[in-house]
Amino acid sequence: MKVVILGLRQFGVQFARLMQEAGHQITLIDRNLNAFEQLPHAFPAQRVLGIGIDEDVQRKAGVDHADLFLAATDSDNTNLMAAQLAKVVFNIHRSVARVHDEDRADIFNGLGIIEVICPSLDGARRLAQSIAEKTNQ
Amino acid sequence: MYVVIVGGGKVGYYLAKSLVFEGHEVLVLEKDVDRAKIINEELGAVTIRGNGCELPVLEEAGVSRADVLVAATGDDEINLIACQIAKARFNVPRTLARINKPKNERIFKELGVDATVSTTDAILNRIQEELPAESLRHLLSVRGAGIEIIELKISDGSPAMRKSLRELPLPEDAVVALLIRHGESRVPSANTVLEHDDELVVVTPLLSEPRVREVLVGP
Repeated sequence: MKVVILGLRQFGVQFARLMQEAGHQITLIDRNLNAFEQLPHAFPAQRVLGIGIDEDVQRKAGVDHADLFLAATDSDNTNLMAAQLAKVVFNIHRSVARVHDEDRADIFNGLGIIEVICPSLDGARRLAQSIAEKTNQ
Repeated sequence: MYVVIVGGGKVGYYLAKSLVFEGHEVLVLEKDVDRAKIINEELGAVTIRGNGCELPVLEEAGVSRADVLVAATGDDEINLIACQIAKARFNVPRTLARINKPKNERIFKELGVDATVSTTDAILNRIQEELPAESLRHLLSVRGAGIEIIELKISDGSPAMRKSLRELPLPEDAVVALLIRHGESRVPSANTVLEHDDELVVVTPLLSEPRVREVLVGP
C-alpha cells in the first residue's frame, strides 16, 4: 500500500514507522526541512518539502496514486483542508485528518467526506470503555 | 441583514466598516485582543475576540441567525473550515470565503462554500487588462459557468496566420465570436482568413483555453 503522511510531529512519525514496519511504501510531506531529522536514521521514505494544502505539492508526493493520506500537522484546519483536498482532487481511497478540537472532529466526521481522528477523545473513550468492561466483569 | 465576518485584518475591517455604513448588522470574530479592541473603538461594539472555527465562539456570535458568513482571514485553510462549520452546524444560508491560491476556488465550491473571492485573481485580471501588448487577455469570466471571454491578437509568429478558421484545429466548444480588423469589427465565417494584426474575441470554456491559445497564438 502507498501511504502519504503530512506533518512530521510525533503522531506522523510514529504512524510512518508503524506503516513502514508493516511493509508499506511511505511518502512524507513537511514544510520544514528540519522536521525530517526526527526520523530514525536512514528511514526508507520519499521526502517532499512543501505546504500540504497545495494540490501541486500533494501531486508531487504522489497522492494521485496513493491508497491512504494522513494529515497530522499541528493545525486542525490545515489537516482538515489537506485531507479534504486529497479526497476531492485526487479521489484517494482513504483520507484521514488528525484533529485536536473535539467539536471540529465531530462536525467533519458527520460530513462524511474524510475520516477524522481526535486522539484525546479516542483515548478518553478507550479508557472509559475499559473501565466499563472491568466493572462488568 | 446580519453578516458575520471571520477575521478582523484589513479586509475584514474595511468590509465591516462598509457594511455598518450601509446599515447592516455586523459582527467580526478576531482572535487577536489588540486588533479586536481597535476595531471596537473604530466601529462600536462589533467584535468578539475569538477563533472563528471554534463552536463556543460561533454560538456566542449567534451565527445560526446570520444571513451571510464571510471568512476573510489571510489563511485559506481557516476560511474553508469556518465556512464549512457555518454551513454544517449553523445552517448559514450563504458563505463566502476569501482565497489566496486561485486553484482553491474549485475545491472550495466542491466542499460547499457558496462563493469565493480571490485577491490574487483580481489583481492578475487587472494587470492583464492593463497590458495591451499581451497577445491574449481575459475580458470576462462568466461566473459559475466556467466560461471565459478572451481577446487574442494574431502576430507574425502565430500558427494561424493566413489560415481560414475552417482549417484551424480549434476545440469544438470554443467560438470565435468577433474579428476586429483595421479598427472594424465583424462576425467571422469559417472561410475568413486570418491576417497580421487581426484581433479575435473568443468565447471558450476554461478547460479549452490552453488549446485555443496554442492554435491561435502559438506555444
